[in-house]
Amino acid sequence: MNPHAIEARALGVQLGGKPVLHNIDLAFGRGRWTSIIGPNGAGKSTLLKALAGLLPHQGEVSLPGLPAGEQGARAKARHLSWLGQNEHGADDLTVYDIVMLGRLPHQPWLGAPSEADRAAVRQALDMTQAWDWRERSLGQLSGGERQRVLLARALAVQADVLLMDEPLANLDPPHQVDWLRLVRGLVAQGGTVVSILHEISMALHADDIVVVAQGRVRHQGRCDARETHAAVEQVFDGRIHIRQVDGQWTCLPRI
Amino acid sequence: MTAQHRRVAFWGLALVVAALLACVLGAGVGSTGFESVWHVRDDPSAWRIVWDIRLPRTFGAWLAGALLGLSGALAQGLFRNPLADPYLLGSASGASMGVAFVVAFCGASPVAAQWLGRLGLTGAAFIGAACAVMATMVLARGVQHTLRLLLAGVIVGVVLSAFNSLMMLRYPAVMQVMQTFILGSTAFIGWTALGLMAVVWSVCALAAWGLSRVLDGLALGENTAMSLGLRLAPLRAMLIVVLALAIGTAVAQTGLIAFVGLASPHLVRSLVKTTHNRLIFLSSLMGGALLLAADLLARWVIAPQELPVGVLTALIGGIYLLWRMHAGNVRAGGA
Repeated sequence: MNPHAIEARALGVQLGGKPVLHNIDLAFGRGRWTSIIGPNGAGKSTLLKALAGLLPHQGEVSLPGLPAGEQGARAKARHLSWLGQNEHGADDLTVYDIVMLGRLPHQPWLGAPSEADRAAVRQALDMTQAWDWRERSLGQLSGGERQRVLLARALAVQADVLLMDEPLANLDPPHQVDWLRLVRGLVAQGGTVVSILHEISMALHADDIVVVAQGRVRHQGRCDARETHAAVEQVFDGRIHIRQVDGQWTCLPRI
Repeated sequence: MTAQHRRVAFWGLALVVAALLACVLGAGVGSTGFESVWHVRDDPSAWRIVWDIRLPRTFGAWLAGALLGLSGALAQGLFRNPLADPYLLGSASGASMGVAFVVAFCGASPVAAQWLGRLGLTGAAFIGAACAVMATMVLARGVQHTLRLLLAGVIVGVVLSAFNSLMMLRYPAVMQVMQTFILGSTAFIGWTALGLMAVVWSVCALAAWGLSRVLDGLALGENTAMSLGLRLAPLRAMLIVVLALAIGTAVAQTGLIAFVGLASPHLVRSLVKTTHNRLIFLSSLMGGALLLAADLLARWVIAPQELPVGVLTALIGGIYLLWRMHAGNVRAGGA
């Protein structure tokens, strides 16, 4: 069995005629959580979109876990779930309906939601503690509550691979901790998580880190490796340093 | 059944009942009033007034409104903008152009009668609307980019409006026909037009229902929709075809009736939050009820004369949107 959940070979992306990603080779381990780190404009979100197949790109992205007989957009959508940055709109849909959208790849085109769909939605809403708002519309929720609902939408897909761009945006510290536990739980069950996090201290809780700068991968390694910390400090021009505080790797500003 | 489903059922039923009551009124409102309805069995002229004029006009007003409401829900879902108007893809100006073209170039020639007989102004309006939507799609280089589509629609609309103005200056005969068309009227709907609209509404409603999941997916953004396995390019093209067919048919039969398409989905969303499969039907029912009510008002308010219904809908719709704007409920959603 291939140990990787996603593999990218010679991945390149141009936006508006300008190259944004250059010849990237990456492999994300199955059953692991990888954080992508880099300065603003490094190409992190573009990389995640390219991995999700949401952007035209050069090179190849493959999902080794996708069964040979299950190809096509819907099969891939069942296998890979994507949570974007600043998803907006849908204010007039209820929380329940939004999370049910995560079941679209599992439902027949004109079919009604099945018991399995309803159970998946219930589970996702429970995981993000959003079940009580199920009949409220998204527009009635705060930024943090909205983020938890959108996370529930991504979880409801029940995909093997979960790609998340800034999933902690608007979440308060207790809910950030809940998110960490949730991701750890998914990974413990064999899931693969790839996330972009600007909170470096939170990103350092992952298993692996990919450091991106100027559209290129500068480093890929374990979170607790000294070389990884050095690479992270370097792409941020040495203005941060990574230290262990109470047994946890933490990013501190270098003032 | 959830509270949301109960609200959808309640408002759906309420709109159907309102439409039925308005249809009864529609049979009676006119210069001869309910007199014609009472004598419909024994007076052939009363029968003609009710059967040939009032009933097709009444049902036609409902159907045209239903098509506009459906188009409005589709346009707002497709462009992810609550202020999107179904005329946005240039269909209104295209329909006007079709009418102006036929009147200007066929109206005075010896073959005009034959052509007009076969094609009719409504056919010309439909072809004009369809051509304008196609031009928009060509200018936008497909349907992949919502913003490009919107801009192309605006450009086509503005350019065709300019051509319309030039045609009216060059051929004064066009002016009178165009005026009726631009003001909008349900007075010319007969049983044939009614049948056509009924068929188109059935087809469009069914297709829109089948495509409603695309609109739900698009509500969360194009990337999320794609990540859910939706193949946006062909699905969006299908939605545009449905939109063009619905709006083209409505405009062809009634001229330009403002605000019904824009306001109907708004009104529905203020009553109930639901997915597009229900929103489309409720908006359609709301559009039908609104236009029928406006038509009754237009026939009654200065009876025995009548107001152009498009003027009335524009007036009421404008006041409604102004009120919504001040109530802070109109969200400036990005396209």
